Amino acid sequence: MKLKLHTQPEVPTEAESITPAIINSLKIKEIEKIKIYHGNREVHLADFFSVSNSKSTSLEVEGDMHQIKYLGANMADGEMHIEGDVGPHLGSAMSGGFIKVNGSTGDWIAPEMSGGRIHITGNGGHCIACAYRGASKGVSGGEIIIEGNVKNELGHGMANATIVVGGKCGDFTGVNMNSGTILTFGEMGIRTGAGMKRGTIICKDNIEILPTFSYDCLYSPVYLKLLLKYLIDNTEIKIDKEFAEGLFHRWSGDAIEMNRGELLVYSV
Amino acid sequence: MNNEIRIINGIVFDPTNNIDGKVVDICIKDGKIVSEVSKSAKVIDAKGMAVMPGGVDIHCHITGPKVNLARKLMPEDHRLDPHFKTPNTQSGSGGIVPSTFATGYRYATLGYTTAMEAAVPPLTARHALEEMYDTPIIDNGFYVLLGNNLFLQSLIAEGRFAEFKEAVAWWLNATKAYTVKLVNPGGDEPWKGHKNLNVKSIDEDSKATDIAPRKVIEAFIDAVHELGLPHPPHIHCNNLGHSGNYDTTLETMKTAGDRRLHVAHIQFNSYAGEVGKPPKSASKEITDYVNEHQNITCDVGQVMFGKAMFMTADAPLTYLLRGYKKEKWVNADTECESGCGILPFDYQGMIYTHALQWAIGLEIFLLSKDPWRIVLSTDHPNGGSFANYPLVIKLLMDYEFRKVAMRSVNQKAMNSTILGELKREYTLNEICIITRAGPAKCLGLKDKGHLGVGADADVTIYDMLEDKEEMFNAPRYVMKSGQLLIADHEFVSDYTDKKVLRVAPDYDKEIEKVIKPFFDDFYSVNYQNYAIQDDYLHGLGKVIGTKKKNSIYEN
Repeated sequence: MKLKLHTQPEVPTEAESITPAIINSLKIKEIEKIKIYHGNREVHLADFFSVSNSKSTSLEVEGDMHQIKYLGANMADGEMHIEGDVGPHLGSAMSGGFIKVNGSTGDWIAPEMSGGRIHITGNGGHCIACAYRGASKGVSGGEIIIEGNVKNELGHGMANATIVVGGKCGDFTGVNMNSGTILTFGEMGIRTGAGMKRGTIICKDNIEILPTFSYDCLYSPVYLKLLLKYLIDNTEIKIDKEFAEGLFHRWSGDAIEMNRGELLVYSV
Repeated sequence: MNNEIRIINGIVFDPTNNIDGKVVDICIKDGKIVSEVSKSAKVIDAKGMAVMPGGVDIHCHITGPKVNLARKLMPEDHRLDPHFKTPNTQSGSGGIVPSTFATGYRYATLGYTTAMEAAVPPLTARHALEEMYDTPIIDNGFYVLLGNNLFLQSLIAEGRFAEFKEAVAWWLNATKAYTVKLVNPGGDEPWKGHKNLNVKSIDEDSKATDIAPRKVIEAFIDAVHELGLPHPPHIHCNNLGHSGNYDTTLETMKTAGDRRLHVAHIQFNSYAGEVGKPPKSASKEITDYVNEHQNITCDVGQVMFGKAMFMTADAPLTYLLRGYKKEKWVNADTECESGCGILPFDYQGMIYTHALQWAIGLEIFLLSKDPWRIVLSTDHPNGGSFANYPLVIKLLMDYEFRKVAMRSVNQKAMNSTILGELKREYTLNEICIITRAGPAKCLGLKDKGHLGVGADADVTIYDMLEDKEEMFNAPRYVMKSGQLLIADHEFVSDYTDKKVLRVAPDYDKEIEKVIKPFFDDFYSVNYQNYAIQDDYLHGLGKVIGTKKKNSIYEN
């Protein structure tokens, strides 16, 4: 199936029902009558999207959807290809499947994700893979690759997920992290890994290390080579040979928490 | 409009009036139970169903600033449990500490129509009253925290007992409370100012006021007895939650002599063992004492596995427990009056201490010889949410179910208790006593907890089901003050003649001259602004009369 945005919504619109499982199980006429929320008003999907058949088994969505929220929410399987920008809460609570976005996204991507993959070729907003306010755990699994830049609080409270950022990161990357891996290639904001319990943050660029982290050693993690190979095969992120074979300074922290996290900083 | 109702064919349980499972018609007119109604009355056919009075929760934390703080502390908990609007009810949020509207509705859907807020510092009573106005359906009242009040402690220390009694009466009037609550009496003050001290025994002088907890407890028991309040002092004993604390609890109960005393959530005070080491069960020692002494009443404070929220005026205890999960917690001070601590918690069956707490609670229920004086509570939300009540009832009524439940929790804990040997099963009549008739009697509420002529028409009708958890989880009909609220499991209205229960004992106006200078010197609030105006009751206030009694059996 293929959905194409024909009218730009005036206010943010919540379209939780746009997932491969729902759309692919229905006929075109039924899809057009799916209810979505334009602000606080219930409207039909056809009011904003035109629906057509396509040969591909995956769901294709096209248009400038920066006002459309909750695309692919609660997704458990299937594939979704998005051409253009999307709004916040993409892949909220998803547990499986694959979302590819050829464009940039809004804030709060993939909150409470527990599995599946998201690949964004453009930039991301604030609070990607971030725990909701008050909760101690955020995403609990899955893989998120962003080739562009992201803003603050990437991976706040995350557990057991893998996040890769090709560009710059804002402040508080991996704050209160429980476990999982974050790999970044660009410039970093301040207070990376503050309050982390376990998990790994790997940075190519030099970062400001908090005083509650202590220096361990210089080494080259093996698993990183596997991850980089995967990235070379599947993404456009530029990875030079020196980096792939380079050494990393290992810092452990955060001492105000369990002190079992690690910061790996590329040694040039 | 016809406001008469006749309930026919129902199997009635009304322990107060010695009706145990008989088919009797119940007639309701103008919000009261009457002996007969006219032929035009609305008829509810309760064939094969159990008819009981509305439930009474003697000890829970549902209104006031600490409850609000707990709500603010757990936004993620609310998000997972939205309470949706229906044509007859408003929206809210659930979770371990539900919003005001959801609290009222959820109590009603369990068949409860009265719930008493167990701890409100005097300074924040205004807030509690405003929240009670916003809590639909259920009748409320609150116990005011006076056990760590500096002014009252100074009166006791100086031996000015006559003035002390008048001051207590003044405070009850000023805050519109139902009775006095003592939380870790004499324990908060040393903790606030003296390097995290706490009192260890009730005969130890607290450093701040040079006064032993026993003296404070004695003075309050005497004063409340003299004032003739319908409910005695409601005490959260010293040393709560520590191993080996049952001695303190026994000493506290002995302090009462033959005067009335209510020990709150007694399960948390029934631990043997050594301080700092894992606890053991002392349920037998505690229940034996309560069984033998008619002046003592208590609620159990059953621990249920799953989410809970510590919410207490016992600030040192929260400080002690804060490291358990290394998560968010709150500790606060109410000037001159009390402390406060809030801490989200998880009870897990596989942990020795938690499993033991669960077993001790059940042991106390099963060893109790007098269900009128050992009543049901989970100390909501400290031991678990009130939503667990149906499950507690099933555990008490079904020995086989209890045996299965025991298998899935920490076996070391189970082996150290006698729970497996207790084959007692509660009857429906006894359940009716521990959830309705008993607490109403402990509270001195003559119009509640029974279905005799003249009682408030708070009636719950349950389908008679084999699975008691299912049965008590969803009453088919709920009536409050003669208004039908739930019919066929659905809300048909949320309007009731709601009341805020309180006492108004007489006192000598001269005492105000003694109290005022203390306010000028120490309080941030002006004396004139301290007492709460009647407006805050929003016309819901109902004064319960005072009369001296030595046990709940005296009329």
